[in-house]
Amino acid sequence: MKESLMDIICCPMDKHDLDLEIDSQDDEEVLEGTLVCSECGERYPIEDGIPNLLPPDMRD
Amino acid sequence: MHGVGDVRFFDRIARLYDFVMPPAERERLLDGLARADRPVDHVLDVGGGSGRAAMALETGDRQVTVVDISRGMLSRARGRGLSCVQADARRLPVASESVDAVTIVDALHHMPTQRTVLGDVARVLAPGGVLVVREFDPETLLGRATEFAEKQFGMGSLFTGPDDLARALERAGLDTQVLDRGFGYTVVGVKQENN
Repeated sequence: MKESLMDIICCPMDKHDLDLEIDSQDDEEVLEGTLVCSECGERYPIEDGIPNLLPPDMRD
Repeated sequence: MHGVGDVRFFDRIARLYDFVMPPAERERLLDGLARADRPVDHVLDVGGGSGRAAMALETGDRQVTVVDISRGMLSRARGRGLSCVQADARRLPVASESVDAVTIVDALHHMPTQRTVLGDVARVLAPGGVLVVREFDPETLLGRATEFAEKQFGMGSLFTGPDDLARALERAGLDTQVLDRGFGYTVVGVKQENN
């Protein structure tokens, strides 16, 4: 996931901004990390460069 | 049964699904994108699966982000170097009025509650932005065959003809036009500046 995607993505539940926590990175690509909703605090994982922004009730 | 659409099916077949888009279909999508009343720098391909349409549309000046519910399909798209987001099309994790265009290519019939999907797509489009939908017409012979085949696979597909789909886009608040008709057809909707 490129950091520039932060300009458009938001929390699927309340549509508020997300904060990015990076665990591993390759140039401008975030490979592993977490997106945290600045309003509700819900945490969304980034795994293998793909952010999982499914609503919590739809996650495996 | 709906709920999450046909996601389990696509997680299973992701490896088989990578075929290339025919040039004629690419031209129709580009024609649709050209209807936007703003420059199209960033496209969301909703239900974009393994990135078939995104690969056809991405250029140096135009970025395409694939949005899909199926992790298996997105892993294929990412393997092709595409930007990916795993999400539910009914509750897009995308800020309002933040994208120039949305494409839904041969995918809307897999999505339950199409009205909710179209409403959320209209929300994320910037003023002047365009939604381009490619679908199969169930009123054509090939369309009926496709519908039959997908039912045999146990898919809960919901096919809509071009005029019904155009009305659905109008209801979502978009200025709508049927661009072409046939087994595969194209409907576009432009978000008005003052919405």
